[in-house]
Amino acid sequence: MKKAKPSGSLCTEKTIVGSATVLFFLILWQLNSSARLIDPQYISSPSQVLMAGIETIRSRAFFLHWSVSLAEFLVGMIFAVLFGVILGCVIGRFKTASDLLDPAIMALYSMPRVTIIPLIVIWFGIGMISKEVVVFLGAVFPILINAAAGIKQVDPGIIRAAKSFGASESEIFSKVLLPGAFPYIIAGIRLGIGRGLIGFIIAEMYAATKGVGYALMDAGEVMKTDELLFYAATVILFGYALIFLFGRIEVRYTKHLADMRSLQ
Amino acid sequence: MVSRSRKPWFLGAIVPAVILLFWEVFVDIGVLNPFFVSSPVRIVLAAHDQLATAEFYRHFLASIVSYATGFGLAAVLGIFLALLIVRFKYIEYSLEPLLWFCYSAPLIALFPLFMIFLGPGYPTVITLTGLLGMIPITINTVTGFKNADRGLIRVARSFGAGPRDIFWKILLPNSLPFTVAGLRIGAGRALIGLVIGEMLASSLGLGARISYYGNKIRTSDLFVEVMVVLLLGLTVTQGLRFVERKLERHRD
Repeated sequence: MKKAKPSGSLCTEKTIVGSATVLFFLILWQLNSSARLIDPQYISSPSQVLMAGIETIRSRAFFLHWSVSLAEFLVGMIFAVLFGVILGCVIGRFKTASDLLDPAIMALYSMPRVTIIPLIVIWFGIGMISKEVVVFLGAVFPILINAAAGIKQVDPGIIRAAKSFGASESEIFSKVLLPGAFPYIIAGIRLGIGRGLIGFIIAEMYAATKGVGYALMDAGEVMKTDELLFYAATVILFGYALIFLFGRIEVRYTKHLADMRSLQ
Repeated sequence: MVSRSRKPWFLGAIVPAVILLFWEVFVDIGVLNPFFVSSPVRIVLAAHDQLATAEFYRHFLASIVSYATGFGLAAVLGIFLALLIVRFKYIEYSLEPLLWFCYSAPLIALFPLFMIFLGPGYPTVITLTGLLGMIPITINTVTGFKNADRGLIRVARSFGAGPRDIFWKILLPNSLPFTVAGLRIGAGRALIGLVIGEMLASSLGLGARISYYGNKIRTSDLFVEVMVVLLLGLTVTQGLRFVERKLERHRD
């Protein structure tokens, strides 16, 4: 049994084959526009996507849509993090709060979020507020649940030790509980980001007049495949980069847990 | 510490009950407008009315068909792809990074493209359901295979087990709980794909009903559809969780 090499260097067989596949695919895709095996109107080509990208950036439409989407995403996420961490800490610290709220939170958490988008649009209109609410509702539960779980798993012995050395409740909170729960909170935020992203894109697809989701649908309706693919690529890369970043932060704080990549 | 293990379930029931009660009372005394927020009693009545119509079952059946087809395809293709990845090193190298990329990237952004390729209706809905459902299934199955105890395989080999024995007696049983967990996660994602697909690209199915009632601002009916989707999702994921627990107990 040969052991896998540690993936420190960039020139392993693995990375070479991986990037060669992507390159091969891009070349095939580009060649199709001259060979015309599939009508390029349907699948466009890498160079056309790039051209359309430059075009939308020049016409400022790109920045207009992205600034709206980013604002919605950020506002929703900030509220979700604040609310989720605070309520999560309360639930994690006080058993009564947890007994009272756990079932209600689990019920709301298991709710398929996309189904309530029409309701939120009825309540908050088709503007930015409804998307902020969708992002908030998507992101808040994983953050809240993870924060509570993080606080609960802090060793009660450490809390007792801190108490016997005269730590106040606020000191226990800021010096013991919050640092102990930190990796969990980051994991919650990472999950929340994924859900928040999907939330605002779908909400914009469903009902909006600005934003990336709207731009995607708009480009799709008039068969501008190149523009559509450019927007899709930016959305996908943005989402991936953000989740990757938070995954890295998480790994830093949970090295001992990060050996196995399986979905739970 | 004994009291901690005893769960006072009634405490947990208080909050939802109070919320439902206030919701109903506020609507009935005129603080909230039932046109926009409906109320528990109105939702129950709407459910009663809807369940008596053939229309409801037509849409429900359409959703079940799309979901079963999409998720079924996702399971078959997902496991098949995982086996290819496990069997062939170069397929693993070329596809595994892409798989992880697809897992965390918001693939839903490609939805308008599917619309262009496949047009509205079943094909788009099923593709979206299947695509979103497939990725966790493949990732988890691959992890299950890779996670098999190397020592056990070596022992089996030195006692004369062939690759076929190792596959059927060690690798497959080891990966099964992972695959079922992948199916559970995939089922949740597939349901989201189903509802979005139907909301945006179909006139049939629960998702289509959701956007229809949303457009007509029929909130009570909208809540009924939301509940039906919720129950559908819970049934499938809890069923798979049950299988997962059985497998875990079986292993121990």
